[in-house]
Amino acid sequence: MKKTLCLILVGLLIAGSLFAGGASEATKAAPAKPAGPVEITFWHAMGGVNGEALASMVDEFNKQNEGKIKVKYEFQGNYDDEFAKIQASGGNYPCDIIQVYDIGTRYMIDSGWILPVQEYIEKDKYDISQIEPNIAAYYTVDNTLYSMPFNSSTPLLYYNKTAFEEAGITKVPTCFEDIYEIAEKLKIVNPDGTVKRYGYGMGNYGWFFEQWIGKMGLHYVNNNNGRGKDYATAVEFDTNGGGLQIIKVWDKILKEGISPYLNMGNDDAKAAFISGNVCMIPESTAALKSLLLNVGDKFEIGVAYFPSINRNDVGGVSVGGGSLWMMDTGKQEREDATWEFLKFMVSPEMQAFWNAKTGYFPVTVAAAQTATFKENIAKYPQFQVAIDQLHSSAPQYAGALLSVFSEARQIVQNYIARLANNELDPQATLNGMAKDINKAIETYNLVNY
Amino acid sequence: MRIATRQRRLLQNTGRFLLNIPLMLVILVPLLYTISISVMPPDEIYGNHLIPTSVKFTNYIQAFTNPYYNFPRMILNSFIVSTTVMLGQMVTCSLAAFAFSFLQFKGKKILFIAVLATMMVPGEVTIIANYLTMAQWGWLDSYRALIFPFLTSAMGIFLLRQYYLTFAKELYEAAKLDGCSNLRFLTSIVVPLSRPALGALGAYVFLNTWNQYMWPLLVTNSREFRTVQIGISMLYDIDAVSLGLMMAGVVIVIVPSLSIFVFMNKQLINGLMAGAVKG
Amino acid sequence: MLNTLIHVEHAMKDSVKTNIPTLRKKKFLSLSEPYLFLLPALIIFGLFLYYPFLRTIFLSMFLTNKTGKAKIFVAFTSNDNYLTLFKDPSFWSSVAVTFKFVIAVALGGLLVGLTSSLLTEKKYRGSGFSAAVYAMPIAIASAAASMAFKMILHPTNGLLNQLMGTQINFTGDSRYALASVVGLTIWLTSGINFIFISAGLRNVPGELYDSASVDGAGYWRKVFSVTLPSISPTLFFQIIINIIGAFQSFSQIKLLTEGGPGDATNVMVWSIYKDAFRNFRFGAAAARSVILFLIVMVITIIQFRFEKKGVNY
Repeated sequence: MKKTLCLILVGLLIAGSLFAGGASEATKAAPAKPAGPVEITFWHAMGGVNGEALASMVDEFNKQNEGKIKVKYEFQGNYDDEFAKIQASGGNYPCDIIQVYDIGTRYMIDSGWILPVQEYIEKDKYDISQIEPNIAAYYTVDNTLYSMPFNSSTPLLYYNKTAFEEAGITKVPTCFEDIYEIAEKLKIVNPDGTVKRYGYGMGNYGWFFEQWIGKMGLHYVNNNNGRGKDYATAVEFDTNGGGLQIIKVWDKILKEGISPYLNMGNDDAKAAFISGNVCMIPESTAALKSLLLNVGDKFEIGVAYFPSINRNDVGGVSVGGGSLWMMDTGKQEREDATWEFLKFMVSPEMQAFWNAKTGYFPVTVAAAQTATFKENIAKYPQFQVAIDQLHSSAPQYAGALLSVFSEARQIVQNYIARLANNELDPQATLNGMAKDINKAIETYNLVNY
Repeated sequence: MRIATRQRRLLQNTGRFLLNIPLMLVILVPLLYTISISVMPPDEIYGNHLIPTSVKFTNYIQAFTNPYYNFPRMILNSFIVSTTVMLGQMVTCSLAAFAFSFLQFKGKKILFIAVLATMMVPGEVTIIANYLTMAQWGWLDSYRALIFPFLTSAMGIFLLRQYYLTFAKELYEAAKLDGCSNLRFLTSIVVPLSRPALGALGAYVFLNTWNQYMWPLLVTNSREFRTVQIGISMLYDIDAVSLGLMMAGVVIVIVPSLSIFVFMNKQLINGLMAGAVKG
Repeated sequence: MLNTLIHVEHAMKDSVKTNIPTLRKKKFLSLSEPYLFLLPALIIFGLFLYYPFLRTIFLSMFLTNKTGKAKIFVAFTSNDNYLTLFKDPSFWSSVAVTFKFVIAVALGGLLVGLTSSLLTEKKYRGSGFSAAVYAMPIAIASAAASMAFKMILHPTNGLLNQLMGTQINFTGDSRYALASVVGLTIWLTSGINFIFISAGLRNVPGELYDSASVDGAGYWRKVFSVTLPSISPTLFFQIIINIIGAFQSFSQIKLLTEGGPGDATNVMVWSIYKDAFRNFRFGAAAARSVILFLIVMVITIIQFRFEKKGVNY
């Protein structure tokens, strides 16, 4: 009796799961809905505090467009995981809008799944100058804007203002020469030889490497940084000397104990900064809000421009973060709805809200005029620095476009890690990076173009 | 005389228990520290405190009530999926293990090796092809995709077969002589006697399925079907820092599986006590 | 029972007389019965393991484009995926790292499981609680544990560094990275090792211990000459599980070290994931998986040969 009961239970469960369908089944079976709201799906990679902010923005849109458009937003993991997902299923058009990180730009352009937003810009006569030109430049190739910038960030230098004041430091560092000097003054060594506090710290984050190349006014890859008529076929940071300079900085700060090695990515550096173990870190502007929250009253956070390698470097930073891509589903009303949503997300009020909640800076020029923005700046003047820094850059420093960018970034990080572990010297590190990335580019170009 | 022995026994037992302490600490400390961080106010986390001076449950309330995360639904999903996979594996593996241990048939050895070979195929190999299959069949974003590929496992078949092999052959012969069909033998005699192995397998499969991350991430797109491991990753963002919230997520995810474990642990031990037929 | 036998005999005689096809049908049914038992499992395996695996072997012979479609057939040419791998020193170092990792984890897990099982073999006050603690890691998801350990192993704020008073970068220093990942994996698998070895211990007949005691054997002597041989099937099974599990360990690497620093924790499974999901080179990833599969298969075959020699049932 008990056994039969068990078997029935098992059978029911398996049968139940057989028939428990999902969204895909429902949309296939249902006939065209009469005059219901158009439903579009939005894939994103924002978690934590930023994710919650995003959710409230989408909810606001849904409220304003009740009955007409409904946006379903779904978190898809971090940028890398989300990217892997779209890459495996893009051809099936699982969503209408997807947020992709900066380094995925070239891949998405080439994918054949997306509809450049330029089409709707022209159709709707949208005034593109509303978007910050330095940001739009990143996502523009051949005068076509492919995706709508959304969560843009630039790298900054965060410093412990309180510690600076205590040590009597009034100069704000602008280049590494300054940083070496200041870090020396801030370093505290315990009697037993261990270091209580470092002046400077940074994670092994490939993004910084890319930004420094741009800040030196140099190119990461050839063929006009991958933005020319032809695709990039090889890296240029080895031949133009930029790469070696960056690697030498890494070498110096690690060998001379100016900074501890803080692993890949920048999480450990942030944690060290918050706890006061390091006094200066480079980080994205998008971390500002959460850093402020976590540091609280412990010390005052100062924000400065991203340091340059050499004092006289002429160049500028470019953006990081992500943008929103329209999938070419071919369904007219869904694409129209997507465009409405995109316009909403970059409206001044929404961008001001997004900025205040996260630290990503507003991609819309007019956002600076909104009350939300002004209130936020008054309370946290640090937010202004990133904006000023971007304005002082120029579209020509927009950064590289490379199909295998995420792999390139991994390779850079990998080699820096080896440098940190004394496996290679700076020149060998550079050679290794260039060789591996070039191989990756070659293979990709062979099979995909 | 008697008192001395009792004292000695007490000392011995205390000593035995104390021997356990180092290993127990190694296992428990990471867990306790995680809990500690999850209820600590943020400034203490970075102040290198080990134990919070004040306990705040804000992180948990955040994770649970914020509709953006939808933890309760994800916990339910994980439960449904893990339970079904567990039951399914118990059925399919018992059937297959029975064939491999009690029955004779052509190609038995080859089939067994073929089954064993599946243990050696790393998950990463099949994941993309399986994803594409799910997409082709329209199974994406459903319980089916989360359950079907895992309804059997070589590990389960192997485990049960090893166990069945310890049964005396005479038992089977006797039943056969009685006119008992194979199926009847399996369900009325073998299964009840293999409770310890089945229990262990069930617990193991449940927990493994509960802990899956990559596959649910790939095949589910919406909150209705997401499982709980995805939940923790939602609390992590590359640009924001929320250690306390993350650790709260980790704890939330661990609590149900820990509870299942505690519950099943008793079953396991009881099953073991019930004894088994052994040669 | 006798009645049933007689009935069966009669029935058989009758059917032989009247119905040879029925007999054949019965024979067919009884011949195919084992296969029917295997059918559910085989269907699942076929759809979700054999088929995708064959597809993978197929892919490994091509250079694939970014969506995984086979584009250029390169097997046996100079661009052959396997050849490229064999020429790549990074591939060989990942093989070496994998072996180091697997051996350390398999033996370490076994040792920890054995220790905790022996500690709680006899019942005494608190042994139940200890047993629960030892088995607990099985309930902890590797992803969850990895996130917790990432925090614990932080170079400046981490718990471990605080306790030891050091500032070691456990996951970024090539001297410690592999050890950290091994340590985490042993922690994670200590639960399952404990559960299965404990079960094995309970099945050791008490008389064996008694007769050893009579012979004057002390505790350790008993462990080595009675316990270990008696649970050798369990240990054998457990080692296989540990090895196969170690080969497939993934979340710890992904969340703690991402294969680094350099190639220090670049286990084969991670490099497969990297090739497929970060570099979109499915053909190359497929080739790696095939090689991994072959290695695991060879090891398992060797182990089963060993079983015949060393394991007593």
